[in-house]
Amino acid sequence: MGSLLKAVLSFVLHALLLVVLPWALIYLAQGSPQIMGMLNQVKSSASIDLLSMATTTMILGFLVSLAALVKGLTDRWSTINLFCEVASTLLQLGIVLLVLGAGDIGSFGVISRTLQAPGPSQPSFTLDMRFVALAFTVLAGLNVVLVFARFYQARSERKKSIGGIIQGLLH
Amino acid sequence: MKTSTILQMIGFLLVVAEVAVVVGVGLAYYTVIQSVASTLGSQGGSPLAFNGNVDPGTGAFNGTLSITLTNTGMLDMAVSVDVKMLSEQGAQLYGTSGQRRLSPGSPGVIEMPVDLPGSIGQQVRTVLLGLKITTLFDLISFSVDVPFPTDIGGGGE
Repeated sequence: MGSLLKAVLSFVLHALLLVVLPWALIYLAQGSPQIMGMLNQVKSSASIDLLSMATTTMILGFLVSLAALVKGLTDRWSTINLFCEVASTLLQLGIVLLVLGAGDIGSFGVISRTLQAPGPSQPSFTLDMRFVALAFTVLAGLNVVLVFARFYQARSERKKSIGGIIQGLLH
Repeated sequence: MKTSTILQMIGFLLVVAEVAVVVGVGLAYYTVIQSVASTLGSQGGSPLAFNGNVDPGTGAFNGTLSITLTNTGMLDMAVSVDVKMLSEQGAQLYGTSGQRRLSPGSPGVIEMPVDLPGSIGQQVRTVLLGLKITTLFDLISFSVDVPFPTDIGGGGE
């Protein structure tokens, strides 16, 4: 019962943050002509589609929440648990890179745009966050290594405990 | 020490590192946005100023171009300003630059010498102003390039 409650709580927390919050922002934006006007201006002048970013975050967030639920319902030694942990880490990294690249995961933290402004002057800007993208990628990699280490440790402990039970039954 | 305890400690350290990166990025964003906003907004006029004179005979520019900035953020930042004068074909005719490191809360003026001969001044069609701000130990940078079409060379309509 404790693990079920934990799994549901984890699912709800992830869903609130990564699904409900982006959905609420989209809902609020679509209800206000002023905000929609601003978002359309950002999209047309800087090629940054914030609504599309929020929608992608929602989709990835739903998968992360689902992985959190399944992870909570399975034991640490199971392959499904391992798969969910790794998938969750990679999906979260995807969300971070999506936000850092203003919707373009492949840009790896570099946003470079030329503003489509009226008149002869076309300013351009670059926001270079490669360090942050690299830091999160390295941390995600270390996290995956940690997940595998925990998985093998849980497996060896399980083997030991099963071996102990069998020995107890034999004696 | 048990393996599970070591793995727990490593997991905790990874979470701490993630939080540290998020906090660092937040502070860097705050520093860049606050500084750009205060530079462009609060001084009432343009942060750019040209002190010098123009020779009416030759059309030569001599003086100092200065930009006043204030670091209203929470981290050290390095600011570099790059001014390029371009011909109609986009070739660089003249360039000057300056840089300065500003600690939080401190204002600073970046001064760039300008010594533009009249012969070059006649051909200038665009002044390209580049501003680059780096912060968080120079790991995060924001740069903006603004071209200003000009009739400095007498080519404007």
